[in-house]
Amino acid sequence: MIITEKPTAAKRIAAALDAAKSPEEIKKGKIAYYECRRGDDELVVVYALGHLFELQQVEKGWTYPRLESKWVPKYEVDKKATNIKPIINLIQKLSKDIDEFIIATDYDIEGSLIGYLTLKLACKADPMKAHRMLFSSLTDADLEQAYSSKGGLDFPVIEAGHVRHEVDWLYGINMTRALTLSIKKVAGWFKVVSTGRVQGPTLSFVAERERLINLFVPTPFWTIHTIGNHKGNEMDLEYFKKQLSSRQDANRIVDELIGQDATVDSLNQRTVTQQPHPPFNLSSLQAEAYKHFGFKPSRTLAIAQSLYLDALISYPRTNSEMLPPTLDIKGILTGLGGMKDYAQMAKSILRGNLVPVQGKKTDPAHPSIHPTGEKPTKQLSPSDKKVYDLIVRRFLSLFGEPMIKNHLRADITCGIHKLYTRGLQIVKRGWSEFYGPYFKAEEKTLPNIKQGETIQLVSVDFENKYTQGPPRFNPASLLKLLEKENLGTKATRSSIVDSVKSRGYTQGDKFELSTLGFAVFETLAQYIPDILSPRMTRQLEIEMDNIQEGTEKRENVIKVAKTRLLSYLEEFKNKEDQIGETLVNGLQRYWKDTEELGPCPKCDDGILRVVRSPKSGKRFVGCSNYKEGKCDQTFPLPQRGTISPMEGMCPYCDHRMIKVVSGRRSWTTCINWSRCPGRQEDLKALDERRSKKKVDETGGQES
Amino acid sequence: MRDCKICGRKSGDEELCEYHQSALTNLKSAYEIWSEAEEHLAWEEYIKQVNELEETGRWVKEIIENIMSQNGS
Ligand SMILES: [Zn+2]
Repeated sequence: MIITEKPTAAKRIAAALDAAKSPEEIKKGKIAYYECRRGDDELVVVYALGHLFELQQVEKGWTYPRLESKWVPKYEVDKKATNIKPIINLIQKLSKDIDEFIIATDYDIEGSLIGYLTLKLACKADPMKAHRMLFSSLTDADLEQAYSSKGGLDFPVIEAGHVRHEVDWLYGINMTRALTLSIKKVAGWFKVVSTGRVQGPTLSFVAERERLINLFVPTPFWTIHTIGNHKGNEMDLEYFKKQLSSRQDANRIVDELIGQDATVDSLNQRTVTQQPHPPFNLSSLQAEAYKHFGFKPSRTLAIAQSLYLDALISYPRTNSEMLPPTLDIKGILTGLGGMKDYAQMAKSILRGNLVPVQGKKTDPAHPSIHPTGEKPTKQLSPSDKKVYDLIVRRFLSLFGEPMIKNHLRADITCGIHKLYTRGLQIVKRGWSEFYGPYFKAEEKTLPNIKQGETIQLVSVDFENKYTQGPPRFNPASLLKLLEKENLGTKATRSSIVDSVKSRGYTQGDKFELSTLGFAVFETLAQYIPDILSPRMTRQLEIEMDNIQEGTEKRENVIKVAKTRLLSYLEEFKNKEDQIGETLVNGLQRYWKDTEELGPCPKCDDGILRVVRSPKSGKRFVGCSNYKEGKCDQTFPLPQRGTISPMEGMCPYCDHRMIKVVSGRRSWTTCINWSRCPGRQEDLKALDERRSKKKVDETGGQES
Repeated sequence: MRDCKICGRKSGDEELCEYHQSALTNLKSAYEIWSEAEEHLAWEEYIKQVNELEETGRWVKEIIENIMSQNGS
């Protein structure tokens, strides 16, 4: 039995290993497996769907601390994972007649763990007797090679995977529960506020940046713009000081330059040779795809993953910027030569010595991302095509000659003032010709001037500008920072970046911190700052590396992590009231900003918010689960004034209290006011007031 | 314990929370740079100009609006 990670991988591996290249697909309801024959071996190829098993707490209760966990089928933890059950059942059934198990999941930590757990918990087989296929691309050649050279399981890697899951589970569930329950204790609301091992530091990067942005005071500066005239030709000249710090100076310089003659002092040329960029690893691919196509890192990873499953590129979750000497470069280039778009370039490269430029970063398992040279068997979608083209062109550019550029500069003087103008000349395009649309440099010629010639300054003025605050993160820059800080792994970083947003901690494309994000950050920073510090999580990454290298034991790492966690939780318990209060305060501000009014009393996980009827334009309170058809809870609202949620609940009906501010008047009531037994008197009085008012004010809508 | 007069965050014994306090400090120190850049720039004119700039931070604007509303009344 060959255990693969995904249906597409199973199909490809079965096709590669079958002697006749036509395995039999056997359908069982919505799922399938493959049977093939290779020499004397009869192979059964099954697939997982990523992880089939997840960690679940051993003791009961949604509380903390909870330190013991066990692996259970995913559908027992995640009720939506119903598609997992038939897969586990099928693997279990087929395993009975198997005499050898081979794991052919992705060659990385997660892949090794997925294979191991499937083997142990679904197949009930002995991992010591099982084998592992290792490959960096899904081409026939690589897979056949991996099959014939298969070895034993890589237990240290599996242990490292275990540790990450366990520690992430420990921190994720315990910290999330601690935050959530502190809110419940203080205000009685149940609103899940989550954090995690890597998410904490990520949130803190965003929050620190936001703080700088919120505190920024721009200061003024001035720039000088000069137009010179030389024998009837006009040219832009730059003043040697890029920024002037006072309006007076700017004024004076303009006065001193305007209408004057300047002299060409010298003409300089500097020749620069530029080597190709190194081969792609995942993060440089993600950065380029964001730059050229605007794809967020998680999207680029998903696209690269599907190109890998189609055997078009090598395994994308790699850190490496190197191509191994064993790689069949000639074969890849010949393959690319068979594609219309790359034929010319591939042919010209094949005439050369085929030595690629290499980068510095390495990866223990995989080479840098490169095309396999296989032709796409189906039409690629437009976004797949973009990423594929980027990867192919980057690969081709590695074999290009250096690019040669001339930086040109003319220095010009006028009295005590210096001016200059610059140009750029590309002498030889070299590798950038292969990289094509992804290399941009604007050539600019210098005006035709000679040393000692005179330029008349015909127009001189200044512009008043202001300093800019620090930029907000975008998905690519946040990902880069995580990589630089060694937080998370190449496989998890892009989903961590996404989660900051999906949990409501930021809003908009530009990682603008929401009031909720700020509240969580503030609370953690005040009470358990260690959770936000990258130090702890970086330490764990190092320990995981040590486990992989066999110099550290999983049990020790887990023990230390548990002790550390327990001390945080104890601290948390002691300060639960203050923590809860800070969070509740922040949540109220958040709900006010987003017009949310707290948890829905009718369903478990809905949030009440102010909505407007598309027909009448009138506002009312509705549940966030309305759109999915899960909850129809509504409450009427006054049509005027601003509404904000209050901490307490109504003493008569136990619904949320709100504050209404309209003009100079402000009052409090509950969202259930129209039906609240304690408010019928008020309602009657309001009705009377209104009928009087209607006489002299038409169109009044106060309710 | 007092609440920040601008945002209602807990602010210890101070009138302003740490964010709005820092915003005020930044606003004051930037006035020195502005005064050297622009001759005869009055404080009132300065904060008015800063408030109109898009790049000015949110907490800085909130402080300015608070100062202006106090001067106005
Ligand atoms: Zn404040």
